[in-house]
Amino acid sequence: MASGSSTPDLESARGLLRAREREFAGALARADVDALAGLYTADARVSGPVGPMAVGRDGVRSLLQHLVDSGVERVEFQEEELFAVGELVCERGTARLLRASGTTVVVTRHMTLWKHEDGTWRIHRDWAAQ
Amino acid sequence: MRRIVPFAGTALLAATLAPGNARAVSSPHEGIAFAVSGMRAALQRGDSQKLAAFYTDDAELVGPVSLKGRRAIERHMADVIAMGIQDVTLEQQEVFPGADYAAETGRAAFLDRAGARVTVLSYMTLWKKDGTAWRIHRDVSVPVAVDSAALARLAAGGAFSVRESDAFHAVMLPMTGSFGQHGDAIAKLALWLGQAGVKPLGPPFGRYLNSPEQVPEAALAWEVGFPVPAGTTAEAPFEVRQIDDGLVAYAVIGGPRDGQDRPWPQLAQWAEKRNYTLSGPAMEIWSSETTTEMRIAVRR
Repeated sequence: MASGSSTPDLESARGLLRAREREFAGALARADVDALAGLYTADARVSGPVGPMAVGRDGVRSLLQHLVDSGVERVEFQEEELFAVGELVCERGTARLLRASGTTVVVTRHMTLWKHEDGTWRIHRDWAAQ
Repeated sequence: MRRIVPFAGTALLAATLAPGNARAVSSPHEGIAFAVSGMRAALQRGDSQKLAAFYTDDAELVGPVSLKGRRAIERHMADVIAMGIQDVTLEQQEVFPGADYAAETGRAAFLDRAGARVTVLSYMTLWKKDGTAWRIHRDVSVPVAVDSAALARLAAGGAFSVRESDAFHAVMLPMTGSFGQHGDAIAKLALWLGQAGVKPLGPPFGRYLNSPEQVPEAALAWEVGFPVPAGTTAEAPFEVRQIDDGLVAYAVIGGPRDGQDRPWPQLAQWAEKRNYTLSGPAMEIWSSETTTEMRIAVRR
């Protein structure tokens, strides 16, 4: 896509989203919480299996700091499907969070709304169930 | 102990006119509001078929209970209604509209017949324009805090369900005696997995062949295991076995791995009241440090 007001082209968005997820994995491996938080929109909301909903980039940063502090260093994303929702892309998929040793900490299934903001796709809403 | 949540989707219980009673397709906001009010009315009437009609044929719900397809959703709705859930209050937070799909976020509180809150879910729902109606196509729900009184009601039987489980292979460590050995047993298994270079395919679990109500502690027979790829081999004291597929009665609850407050009697009674016969050992799957799935094989 494509920023702007048009409906996103899912095929072209798919490659860009995968690239963003690779950025996520790289930042997680570096424990770079600022880089991780930068992958979210300024007014993002994240609802996960543990803890209260994270609101805004600062809230998301705190959530991600907790993730890093808990020893998670790797993530494996698996996309299941994409839908165009207005200007947003809705992705359903799974995420496996692992320690550096390869031990799985948790596997979540998520629904994520990606928003094109400031020239790139960012996570705008993310609900993840264990 | 954290939560037992009997609902598979949030929008699950929300709306009145069945989509079958179609009216002209409206905007996503109007269509969702229309459906939500219809689902709520259907729940209040205890009409699981009408409730399920608000979902697409291939709807998928992810949460404490995950379901796929309208038929599975209808069966689950019937269970939820049978448990005594009769109403829902919704706090819609946002709607992201689109031409064919719309996303909605919010919170839903589910109420029993007395109007008491049983549990609250935070949800994101993907609605699909389906012919002349907006229907729920995908839903991810995350449980939020449940008060202690609600937990007590849930432990009394409000969180149970039945489903098909898949067969899998597992490396097992048979044990006898005190349940206080759980930590050591799992550690031994994990160490073996690491040394053997076997990557587990899921979280650890325990199977219980008798119970403290039946035998003295020293005679307790149980085992812990990890799912592993088919073809894995092991030597004593470890064993590789296939855990068969089949119907299971189950509940997902919160609490630590060594929790002693599992509602096993309630789960058994719940199944027997629905004409299921218990046919296998009790099993606990420790999905995380704070979540356990209780599972017991049943047949009809």
